[in-house]
Amino acid sequence: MTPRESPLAAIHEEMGARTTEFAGWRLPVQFHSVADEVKATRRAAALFDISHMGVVRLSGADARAHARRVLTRDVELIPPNCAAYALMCNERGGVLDDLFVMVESESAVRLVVNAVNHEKDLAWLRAHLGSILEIEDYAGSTFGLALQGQRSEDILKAAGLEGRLPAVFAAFFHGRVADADLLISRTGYTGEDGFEIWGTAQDGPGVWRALMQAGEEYGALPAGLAARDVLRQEMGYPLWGQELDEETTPLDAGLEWVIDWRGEFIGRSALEAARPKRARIGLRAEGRGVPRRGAAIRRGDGDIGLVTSGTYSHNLEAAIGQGSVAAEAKPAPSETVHVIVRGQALACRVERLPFLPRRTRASWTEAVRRHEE
Amino acid sequence: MTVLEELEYTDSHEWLRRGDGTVTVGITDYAQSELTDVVFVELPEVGREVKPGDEVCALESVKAVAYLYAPVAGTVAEVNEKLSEQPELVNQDPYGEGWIVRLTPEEPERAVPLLAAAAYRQKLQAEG
Repeated sequence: MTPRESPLAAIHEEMGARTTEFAGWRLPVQFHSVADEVKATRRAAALFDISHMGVVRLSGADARAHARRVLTRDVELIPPNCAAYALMCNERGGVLDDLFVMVESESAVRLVVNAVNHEKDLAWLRAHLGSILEIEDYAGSTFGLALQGQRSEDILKAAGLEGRLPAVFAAFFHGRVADADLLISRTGYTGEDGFEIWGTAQDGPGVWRALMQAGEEYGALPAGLAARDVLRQEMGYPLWGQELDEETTPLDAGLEWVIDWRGEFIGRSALEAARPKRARIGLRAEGRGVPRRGAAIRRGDGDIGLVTSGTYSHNLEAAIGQGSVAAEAKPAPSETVHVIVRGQALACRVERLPFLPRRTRASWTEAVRRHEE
Repeated sequence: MTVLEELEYTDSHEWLRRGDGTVTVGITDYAQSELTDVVFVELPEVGREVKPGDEVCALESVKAVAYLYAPVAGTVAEVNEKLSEQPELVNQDPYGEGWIVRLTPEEPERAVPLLAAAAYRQKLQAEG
């Protein structure tokens, strides 16, 4: 099957990006050096094409209340123009997908889902909400960009942004850049302050150029999937398909904080009865070697689990990874375990996630809490 | 991609330079560019004996792990110790400071199929 192309494909080619096929899409892996792209994101900013992410809009009377049924978060607590990380679970409590839910109003919410789960999620949403809500899929008609890094706000403004930027994390607004109408959300997958920007497909190249041009003086670089993966691993963020899958519950993945127990949702009764079988841990290699997905994790003489993802972090100057281990054998932070790499035991220190401090703005949830106090 | 005229190449993208009764081996410019940002080179022990096609050492990059395969049978005579501290030399200067091992070949020589520069260039073109 021919992979789908991003509305920005011509720009990637023009910039000499190396591409790969991912979740049915042809996407840029890197533009120049992964290390440079990762460092630029932490130092200044980087621009990522995220057009492959699925965007699904649910609308109709009480759409927000109905969306609660398929999400672990109590969406009714999310004010309009705010977003939150949430999980969609099956009846067994396994994670169908992890996503961002954006609340437009009481009668409309948008879900930003993983490309690899897009079709499956659509089928699930249609099965559970299709008779009561309108479900629109924006596949093919939109582009998505992630501008990430501490200089992101400066760059948006230098690019001639029209509209009022929200000051808090996970809030969104309608704005314009390069004559294009955009939905801009103060969110991301890097742990830095930054924005995810959505618009109509044909406006994508113009917005990309405007942001790259404005970003130049700040040291912004275009970045690909490889850098995006290193950045999310530095933050200990899970990736569906690696740390999460349909057999893994939020409890197994250390994501109990994403569950609001108030209210009914699919998977709730299974999760209430469940005990965590596994635990997600962070690993920092002490020796030379990279813990890669599938490698065994050994504690003392026994294998306790597997590495779910791993990479080398140029910011930490160390190889890092995440692992899924048996809950009863979970090692404590700063304990040393061994990961079996090519038959050799690589010593790794168990670390609390994230590996690097989060540098996003305070979230709207904190603003709401202060207001309530 | 740079392909140097005076070197020999393998299908698995190693280069060989002959001289002083030894064969110096590294990975080609194409290989380093595919692998990107090398972060560790797991150097073999000096004195290790290898057969043609054996894994000599692992190269870890941000994205994946790759291996250097022995192009000839022989003994590891020397390793590029600099790579322990500066693995990025493999990317920056693959045919020079980024060399990986020096082998003393067996007599008579046993080798994997070797390509001259022109043939290696053709192979890269064919692979797109």
